[in-house]
Amino acid sequence: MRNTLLTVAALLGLALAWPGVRGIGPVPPLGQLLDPVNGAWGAARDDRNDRLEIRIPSLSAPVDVWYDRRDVPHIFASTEADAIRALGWVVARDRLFQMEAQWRAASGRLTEWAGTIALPSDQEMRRLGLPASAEEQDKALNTESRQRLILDAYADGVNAWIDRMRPSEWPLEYRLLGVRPARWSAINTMHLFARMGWTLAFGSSTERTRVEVAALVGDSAATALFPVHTPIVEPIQPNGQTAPRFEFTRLPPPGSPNGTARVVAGMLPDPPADDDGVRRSFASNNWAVAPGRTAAGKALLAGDPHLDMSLPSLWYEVHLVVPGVLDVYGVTIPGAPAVVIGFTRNVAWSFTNTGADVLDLYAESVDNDSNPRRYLVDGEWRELRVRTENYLGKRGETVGVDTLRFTHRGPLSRDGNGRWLSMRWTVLQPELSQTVFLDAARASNAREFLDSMAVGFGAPAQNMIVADTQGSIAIRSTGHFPIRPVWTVGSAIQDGTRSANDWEGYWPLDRYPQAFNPPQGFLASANQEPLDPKENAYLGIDTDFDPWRALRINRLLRADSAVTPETMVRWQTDPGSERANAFVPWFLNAATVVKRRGQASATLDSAMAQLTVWDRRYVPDDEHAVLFEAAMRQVTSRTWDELLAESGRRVATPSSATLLGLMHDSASVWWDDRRTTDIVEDRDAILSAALVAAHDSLVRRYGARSAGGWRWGTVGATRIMHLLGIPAFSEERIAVQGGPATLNPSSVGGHGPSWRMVVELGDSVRAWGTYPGGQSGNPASARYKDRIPLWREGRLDTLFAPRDTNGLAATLRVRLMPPKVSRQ
Amino acid sequence: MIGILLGVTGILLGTWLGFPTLAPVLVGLAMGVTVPMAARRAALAGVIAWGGVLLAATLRGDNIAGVSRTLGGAMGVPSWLLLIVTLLYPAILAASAAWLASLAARRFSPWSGGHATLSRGLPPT
Repeated sequence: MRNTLLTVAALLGLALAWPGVRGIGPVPPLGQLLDPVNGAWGAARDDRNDRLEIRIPSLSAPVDVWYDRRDVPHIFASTEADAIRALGWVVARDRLFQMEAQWRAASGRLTEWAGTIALPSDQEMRRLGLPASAEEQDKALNTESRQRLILDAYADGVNAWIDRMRPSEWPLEYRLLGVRPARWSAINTMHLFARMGWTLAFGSSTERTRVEVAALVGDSAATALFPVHTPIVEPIQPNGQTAPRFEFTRLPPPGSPNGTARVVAGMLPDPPADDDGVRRSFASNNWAVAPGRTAAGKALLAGDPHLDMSLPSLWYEVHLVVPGVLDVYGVTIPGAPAVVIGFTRNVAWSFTNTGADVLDLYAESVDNDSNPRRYLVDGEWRELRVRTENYLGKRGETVGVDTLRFTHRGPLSRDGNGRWLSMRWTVLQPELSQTVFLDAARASNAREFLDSMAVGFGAPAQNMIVADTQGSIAIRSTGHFPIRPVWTVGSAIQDGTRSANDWEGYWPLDRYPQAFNPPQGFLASANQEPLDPKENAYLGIDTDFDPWRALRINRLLRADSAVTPETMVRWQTDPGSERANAFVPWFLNAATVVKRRGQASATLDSAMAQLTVWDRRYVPDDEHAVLFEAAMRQVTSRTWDELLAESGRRVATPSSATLLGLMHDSASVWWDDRRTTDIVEDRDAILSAALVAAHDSLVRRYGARSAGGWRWGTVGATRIMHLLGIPAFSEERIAVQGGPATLNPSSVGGHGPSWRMVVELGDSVRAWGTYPGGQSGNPASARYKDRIPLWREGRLDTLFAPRDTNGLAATLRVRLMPPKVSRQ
Repeated sequence: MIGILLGVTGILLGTWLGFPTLAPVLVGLAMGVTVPMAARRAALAGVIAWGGVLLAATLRGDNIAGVSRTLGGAMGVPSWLLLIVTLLYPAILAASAAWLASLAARRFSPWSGGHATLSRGLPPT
């Protein structure tokens, strides 16, 4: 009996070999995972206190890579191509999984890792035509071109690391997914940039917003609620004003629903989940101060691109030196063969997203609704370009097939109503030079930098700010801005049967929003409208341009004529809010009016008292900001009830600037909450009711304020998630200084300043920076998220950019060597 | 003792060659037909082999505790459990294989006593 039991146990034990080799469901192969020699335990190894000599096959000469105490690799090479090979090597060494995850996501090949669960994400990428565009760009690249040389050099460096890597050095995530690292191809870089374009310039919401809103409240109201220009005017290109201009107009009442729009609205994607008209993602800041307004008489530049914050970080810090050719320090995106944001001995630069409308939809007529092969243009049928997409699973099996169709404008898609829309989008036009950042890094002054960027940078359009050691500051919104026929509106769906509706080209350079050494002595961009509406140019619609941070930066800059680097660093986490400054007085006024009407309550008194004493600063210890934010959500919900679809979902939210304009019309019919049929609310009724409701909801959710649950550092805490969303690899509940529409809006969760940098440009260049993460992509490494505390506190590290290895206290010295020459 | 040492060596070699699951199984099978009390000894060899590697890594300064915490967190298990499972994995495979092999050896061997007889130094009957 005992033997029988033991035998059964032994059989069961031996059965462990199956999950050990193949894995079960989401559980990776246990043997490979737990293997102490070649498995996940290898992530415990730390070989940084060492000297290494590595051979890279395509290297032409030795390259020294010295890591400093912050784990930043300083690459000293004798040719640009060798420097890029070394860049590929160092980035792969620290961020290989991230690189592969990003190119797979961009190229729609995540199913090969995760199976059908990733199919929707892959389908989205492929149906947008992003991988197809990257492939076209790859094919079009001349094999002898400098771009090809650089892309191949980068791939050589990445693959040199992959080829040398022992299984124990595979990033942990590969073990957990049960997959092997794939080799790197030059096209992966193109996928990566295409994905960046999707992140920053996928603006189909413009058309969706107008159409869906018109379906509910008519065209006139839709146009007024979502104006082309923002009513708060503080443009990127200075307009000579010494203060922001407010151009509020009275909103027309809601009109009759537009039936046609109702049909079209059904075919558009869901809107983002913003609920109070404040853009939450991809907001960025940059500003520059001319020597005349700085304490030291040297130009200053600050930049902090706000993007998805993730672990590993989006950015990787690096220094590239090729004597006489290149000396650039900053951050690269793993997978990109260049420093994207940074500084040289001559210039420093940073970007914010322009947010221009660079995507248009066209309603197409096709020959066969169920299986179209041709589409109608100017009365003639044109052949659709057809492309079959195969989605492969983990073991190479087909898990999905798509037939994609393209018009001359771009990808064609369809909804259940049988309507076909094609999409023209600048991101799909393969006109980004892969060497544009390297070329621009050779600039000797600000103008050269911007001109160089303008040659090779098409999308996504960026507000590029630059300062130089000669004391110049400049900004230019660079990218392709479509020239549309005068009779078309970029925010509407066009008739695709007329070629006359097509774009006529792109804006010439002199039309770009730009400024060089303006008399005001400073420049700032924070995703506000680039041009003064008086310029009468169409770049997008109001809701894509957020005015609040720009108002704040400009206020700070105007008030200080002796700016220092320390001031710039402090401003990057300035807790003040122009949005709160604009709205709080309206709440207080409303409470007073309602009390005068005899409708006072203890809750209203309490809420009013709290807003009265609030200094309108989002600091971690503050206990009032949470009330204001809740009240703003309540106002938004109660005011824009006209925009609720039958499902109860609000189809779009007008910008907070539009809401502020409505404040000036206390009796507008928009204030009335139609869901309360017995009364007609005015502005003050809505504001005070919102305040009371906000207070009540906070008490319900967090308890009384005296209990301490309203602390902004708790309620507004942010998080930085791992790329796979694994909590153990993430950092959560980070109390930050800043809130919605402040210069540090990271508290809203998941997005925020992904790289903060301040540079002083004088006889020498001094710089400071940090990002929320760490150089290592290994979650078990001490360098994985070691920078988060500094970032949270709003402090920056000094960035050390030596001209050579002298004086560089290296923690690891790597010499990358060309292959040995065999003796014949 | 020699049997255990050979078992440890075999498991380490196989693991190093990239066969972390096959190595304990093969070593267990081999021990099952050649070593008395094979299951226990094979289990011990598995624990010593993989545990030794982890111990050596710890002594070298590798952050084994950190990986245990991180990986355990990712898999939703306590960090100590991951260590235990790592030690048990080769042990269970080797012991199971050894037990089955010894059973088979007794059943199919032309010598009635199998390795037990051999171990006593008696001639097969």
